[in-house]
Amino acid sequence: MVTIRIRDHVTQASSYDDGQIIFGLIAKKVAAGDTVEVSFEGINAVPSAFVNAAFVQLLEVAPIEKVRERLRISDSTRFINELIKNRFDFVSRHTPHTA
Amino acid sequence: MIRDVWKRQQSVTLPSNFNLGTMRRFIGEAMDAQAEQNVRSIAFDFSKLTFIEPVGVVALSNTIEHFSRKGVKVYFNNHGQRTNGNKYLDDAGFFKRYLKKQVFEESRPRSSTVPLVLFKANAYIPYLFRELMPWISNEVKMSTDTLETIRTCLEEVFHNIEYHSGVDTGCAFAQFFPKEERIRIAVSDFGVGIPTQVRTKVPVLNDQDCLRKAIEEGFTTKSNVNNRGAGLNNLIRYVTMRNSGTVLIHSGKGNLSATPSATGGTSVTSRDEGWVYPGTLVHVVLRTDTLDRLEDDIEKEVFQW
Repeated sequence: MVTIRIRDHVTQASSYDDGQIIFGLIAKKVAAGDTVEVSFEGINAVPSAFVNAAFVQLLEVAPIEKVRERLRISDSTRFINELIKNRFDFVSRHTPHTA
Repeated sequence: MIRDVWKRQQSVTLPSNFNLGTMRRFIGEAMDAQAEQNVRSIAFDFSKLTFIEPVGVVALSNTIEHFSRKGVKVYFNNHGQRTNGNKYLDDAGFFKRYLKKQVFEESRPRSSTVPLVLFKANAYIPYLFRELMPWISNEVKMSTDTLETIRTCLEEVFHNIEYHSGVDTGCAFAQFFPKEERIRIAVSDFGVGIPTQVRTKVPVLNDQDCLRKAIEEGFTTKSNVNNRGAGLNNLIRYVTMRNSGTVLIHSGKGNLSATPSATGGTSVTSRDEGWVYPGTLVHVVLRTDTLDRLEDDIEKEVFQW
């Protein structure tokens, strides 16, 4: 398992571009079946653009069940957890399932 | 640069009390005055101004920028009259911004405000992180770490400008009202407006319905690759449900108000006005007496899908 500490890679976990950097670090690993832990150490909250880019975009490289299996979030707050879960729940409710 | 010399042109008088309610008349009159005769210059008369809310400061700045982009010269009249309104604007940095000099020698930024700022849409970070949030932190005596959730909500407003407005500039102004226990933050862009953006996807909607559509979770105009339709929804949900604050949006003829509902959710009302706001104005009203609730949201919690 690989651990990615967000603060090691972006100054502010703020914009879509910041999230894109994190996505670039984890997407290939998730697609390849590896487990990735993303640490929010030192970060209390992030906007939706960051979550969209870093995590929701993973649904373009792996099905939602696989993303849930392979992506672990650590050192996060209630705010961050709710935002990530809300975004994934919304996408899963509005994405047609395939057999 | 705005001229402060009187010349013959259309003149529009600022209302005595420049707030959300009177802003419509001023902007409507200014737009009509310029459009009716297609004049290339217009004067704003400050003689009657006695009070102006943050949203008025931003709307006034927005209107000036709108005319500047159209090549219409804006002149100021009677701004040197020592009214409370003119003094407030001078303290807010308004005249220094547009005349390159303050009007009254003793004018200084007030501790209860963050001076008017025009920012590049893709470069809002210094303003948000180094001016606005430290100022809020100081006013409410809470750390910027504790206020991070509020900061991210305000980032949703700035992202909306950066990703959707079609222009690269916006303006912002904020004031703390300690007796009301409210912080009012007004942010505006001079762009195409939300209704125009929404109608690229749903052409049949009127302006107020476009605003309702824009705040739906998941609705996206895909005007930008960075866009997945969550920002305004996130802002409104958090401000109304966690802070019990309000969010007001004006864009085009549309006007949308999001307030806390009696059941703990969000109540949204909207309507079409008889005047057009050029661009988009977002007015966030934060309650300072409920900010301590937000400490729960930054508590560490084990993530579980």
